Amino acid sequence: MASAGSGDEKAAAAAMITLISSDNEKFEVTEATATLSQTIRHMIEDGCTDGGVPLPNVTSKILARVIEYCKKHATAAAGEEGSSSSFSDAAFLEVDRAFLEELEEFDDAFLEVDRATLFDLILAANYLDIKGLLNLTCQKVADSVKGKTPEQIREMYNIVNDLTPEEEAEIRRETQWAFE
Amino acid sequence: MAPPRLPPELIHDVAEEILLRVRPDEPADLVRASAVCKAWLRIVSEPAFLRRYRAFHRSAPLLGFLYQAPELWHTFYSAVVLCAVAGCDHRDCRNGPFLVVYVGKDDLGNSICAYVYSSEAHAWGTPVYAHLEDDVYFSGTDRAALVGDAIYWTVALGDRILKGLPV
Repeated sequence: MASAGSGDEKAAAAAMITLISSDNEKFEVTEATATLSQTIRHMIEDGCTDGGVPLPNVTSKILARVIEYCKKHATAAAGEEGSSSSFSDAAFLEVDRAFLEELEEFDDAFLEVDRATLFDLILAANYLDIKGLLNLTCQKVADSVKGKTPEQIREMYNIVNDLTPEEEAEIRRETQWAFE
Repeated sequence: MAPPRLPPELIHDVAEEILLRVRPDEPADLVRASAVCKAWLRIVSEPAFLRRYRAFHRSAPLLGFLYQAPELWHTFYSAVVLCAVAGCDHRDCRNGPFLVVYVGKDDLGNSICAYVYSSEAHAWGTPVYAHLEDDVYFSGTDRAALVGDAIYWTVALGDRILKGLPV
């Protein structure tokens, strides 16, 4: 068993993926980190990651943040798997809770970015198909529109109002209660 | 110092993911978001989006608010919203005319009264009353069931049924 175990470790250590940002910066990540992205997971399964994975839609600044997220969440997932076999149920629950709390703190701190970066992260999470990151970032934007008027939302997120005055008047007339 | 960078434009899929997560506890939020731009209005108006929204939040959609409610509210009451489109299969009905059926009973007295609100008439109809025997109890807390064109409520601890036919 020992030899098989070390063999697995070697294979895991060898499974590094190179991600290449739009501005040509290379990032070496483990497969466990990279496969939080369904897009990259499919590329690995199809064997098209040799020579690196070009990500023309993602800048190095955003890719670095995305990798930071994936590393943390991949570690947490691996930690949970490891702990399930080596702790009693009660201890496992304790560890589980600690993990979740730590992860929550990480996520909260991760979201402390300006709106433009937040939108970049959403677009990257969507492109790379990273469900957890997409959920986290979209929820942050969704919560930020709470109690805001359409004008305030447009201003916050640089959205052009292309509704005609007639359309706007109709929405307000039909749903007057939402604007009082 | 350079001004803060403006957020990039959101593609349709991503805008949908955001709108999907606007919490339903304050329905006005989603309505106001729909008035931001054409793309957002289109998304929020799509039946597929509304189905996803209901599934995502695992909650019944809010169809509307009651206003011009009957002046008389009761100690025990229950209300249901019904689609008023003839021949509709009620699988995904929205935006159409609706009825609100309200039944209420006061602590004292032994009659139940029922009002029907019609969205087409924008008005509550004349109340109708049903006499209950002295021992009959109506809490209004049980769910009503719609069978065919009639709504049923249980009364008297579940062993009797109040049947309401549409007006």
